Amino acid sequence: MRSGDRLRAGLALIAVCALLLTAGCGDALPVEDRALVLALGIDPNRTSAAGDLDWTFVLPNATVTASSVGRQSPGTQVSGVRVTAPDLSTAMNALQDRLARKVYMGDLEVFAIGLATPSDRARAAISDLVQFGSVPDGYSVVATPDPATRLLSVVTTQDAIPRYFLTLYLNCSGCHRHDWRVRGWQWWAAAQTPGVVPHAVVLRPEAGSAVVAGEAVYPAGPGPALVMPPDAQDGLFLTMSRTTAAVVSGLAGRRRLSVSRLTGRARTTARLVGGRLEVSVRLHVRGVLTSQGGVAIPSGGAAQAALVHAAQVLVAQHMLDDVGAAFRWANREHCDPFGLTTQALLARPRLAYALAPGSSVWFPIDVRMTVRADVVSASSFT
Amino acid sequence: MSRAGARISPGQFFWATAASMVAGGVFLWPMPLLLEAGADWAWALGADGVLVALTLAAQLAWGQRVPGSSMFGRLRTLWGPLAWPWLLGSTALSVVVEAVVLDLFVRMLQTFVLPGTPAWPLRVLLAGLAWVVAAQSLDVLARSLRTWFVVGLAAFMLMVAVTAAHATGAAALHPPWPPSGHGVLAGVAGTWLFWIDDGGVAITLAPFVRGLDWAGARRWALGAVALQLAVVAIVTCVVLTTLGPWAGGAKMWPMIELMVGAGPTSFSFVRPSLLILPVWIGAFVGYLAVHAHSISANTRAAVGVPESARRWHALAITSAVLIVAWQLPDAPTVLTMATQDLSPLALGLSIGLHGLSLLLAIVRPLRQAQPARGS
Repeated sequence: MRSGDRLRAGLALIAVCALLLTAGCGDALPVEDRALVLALGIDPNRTSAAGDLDWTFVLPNATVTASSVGRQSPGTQVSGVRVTAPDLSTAMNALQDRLARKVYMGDLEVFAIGLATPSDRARAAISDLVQFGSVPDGYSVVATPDPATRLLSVVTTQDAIPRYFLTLYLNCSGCHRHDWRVRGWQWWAAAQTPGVVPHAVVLRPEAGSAVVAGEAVYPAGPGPALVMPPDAQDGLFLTMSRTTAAVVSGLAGRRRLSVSRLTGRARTTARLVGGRLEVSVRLHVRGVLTSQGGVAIPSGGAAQAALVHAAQVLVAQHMLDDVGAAFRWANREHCDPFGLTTQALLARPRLAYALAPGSSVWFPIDVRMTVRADVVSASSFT
Repeated sequence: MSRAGARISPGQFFWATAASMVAGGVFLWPMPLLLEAGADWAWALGADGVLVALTLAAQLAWGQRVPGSSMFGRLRTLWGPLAWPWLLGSTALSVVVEAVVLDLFVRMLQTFVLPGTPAWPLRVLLAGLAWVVAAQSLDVLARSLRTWFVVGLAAFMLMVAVTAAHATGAAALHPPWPPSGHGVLAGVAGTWLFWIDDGGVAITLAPFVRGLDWAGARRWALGAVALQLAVVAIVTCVVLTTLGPWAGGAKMWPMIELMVGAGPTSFSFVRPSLLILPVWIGAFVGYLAVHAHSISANTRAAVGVPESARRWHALAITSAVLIVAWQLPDAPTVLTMATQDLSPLALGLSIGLHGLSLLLAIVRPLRQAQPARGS
């Protein structure tokens, strides 16, 4: 037998052994015997003296099949199981106690934090989930007014299991005014990093859907999350270069102008000077002038140029107001969801690396902003 | 058919040398570096590259000066009976290092892919696969390594690029000035075993490169160091700019967690990031095989058996790796042992073996020549 033949024979033998031994048969179960957890939510338990949390696990209904989806009402496609427990492991144990199928967390898509949940408990819950090992940390983290069950049970008629409304909502790239999605590993990394606090979009269930209601920010400590109002939230996402499809509508003189499809890029610098954080934000936003109060937009000439200029001023002012609101909010609440404190700390690596993971660092922020708004007229395309 | 006179091309030598470094523990980077060097990680990585390059250059320089048919043959010419402790020491260390890397790799597979599968079939299959590849003649081995390593590296860098899309800024890459000697030394000592475990791959393979002198082999070997340094630097930068130094240093295998977490996660999708596993398995098997082949060439020379005994020596070495891997404790203890104890030992052995051999190779002919001049 030639050397190459021996190699092929050896590889074939090993491939057969590998198929038999490493195909995951050790813990293989048919999907209908698994309790797949699609979403998980936490809320404080009001009656527990020990400070336990309510854990809501959302599971797809195993009896829904492709052929029966059309006959199912949205409410029967998923079921929620709520248990009360101090931590994730105990909660999963309690969940398994109630189910005849084996709990599987590997397909977790959404983690929802009730707004009344103490910040340190939310941090601990996600840290436990990250340490859990076999749960990929790509799930989205959101906040919601209590109880989390209300948001997690939103299932619309368009989204039949295994497509889950919240997953589709958060994964929808370029659909919403900002890219809201924060993944589990990003949230956890922020919680570990001195000089930044993790945050998550607040989604309020409303009429069988979800509405954005600010941004929840989780400083270290036992207090509940702090909620950024919408204008500060817009400023935060602009500063993070995560504005993907915003709209600005306002009066320029007597005309109401609307600029849509706004995307934003920000370049930030931050340095520590005498116990204060000096921040520079340079914003570049681009958008399309799509309306001037129902009147046709001129398709060229000085009239269009004047209108576009007015729209640019409107957008620039709006963006400056939003970013200013975000930094005023951060200074008032003594926390930095932007990560600019970390950026400044890392310019002094010896100082930065000496800080313990998760330690809390904050400096008052002095911000200088410049904005460039590039607006084109929709009439240029038609 | 055994091909004792098998030759390899310079490109195959380049890929085989590259596969013998970093590839076995690439899934662990940059955790040991951040853990040991802290803020000085960039300086430590640079020092790693320089020192590895110097060690390989020294290895090939003394190989060029000393006649012999293998690393052991040259050691015996140079050191006489003292060649045996060098061979036994470097072989034992190589086997332990490969066992450590095998064990950590299997635990990573169990954590992310096959949680319900026991460790033993994974260990046996990986070691078995490495044996099948290592038992081939040098040209077949080198051809397999070149083919799979190029494909694997390309796929790996593609996955790294996808992950890099989540980078949030370059602030975390700022190196401190001036570098701290302690940090750099700790970084180099703690990561050395992921670079070189002293099976003497370059010096063993270099004489078999077709149409190439030792200076040419040195250039290709230094190119392999540059390639692996670039891979490690890119992986480190991606982890630091996405997770940051605090979270990046807290994870045992940050790169795979990032790849799994950064891809689309939805019940309807199969995670594309898991494609990285065949790539890493290929790289890992190549790493294990090239070391087993190289060590077996030296043990064969030591006991004076012909080329046809190659597969049995390779089997003995992969079996030894398997047996040592079986005895290792839990992953965090193994990793601490690797970075705190084994790696500094490997650094000492590399510098001792190749530095002293080069010195001796330079000095000995002079010593022999001096009496002749005096008489």
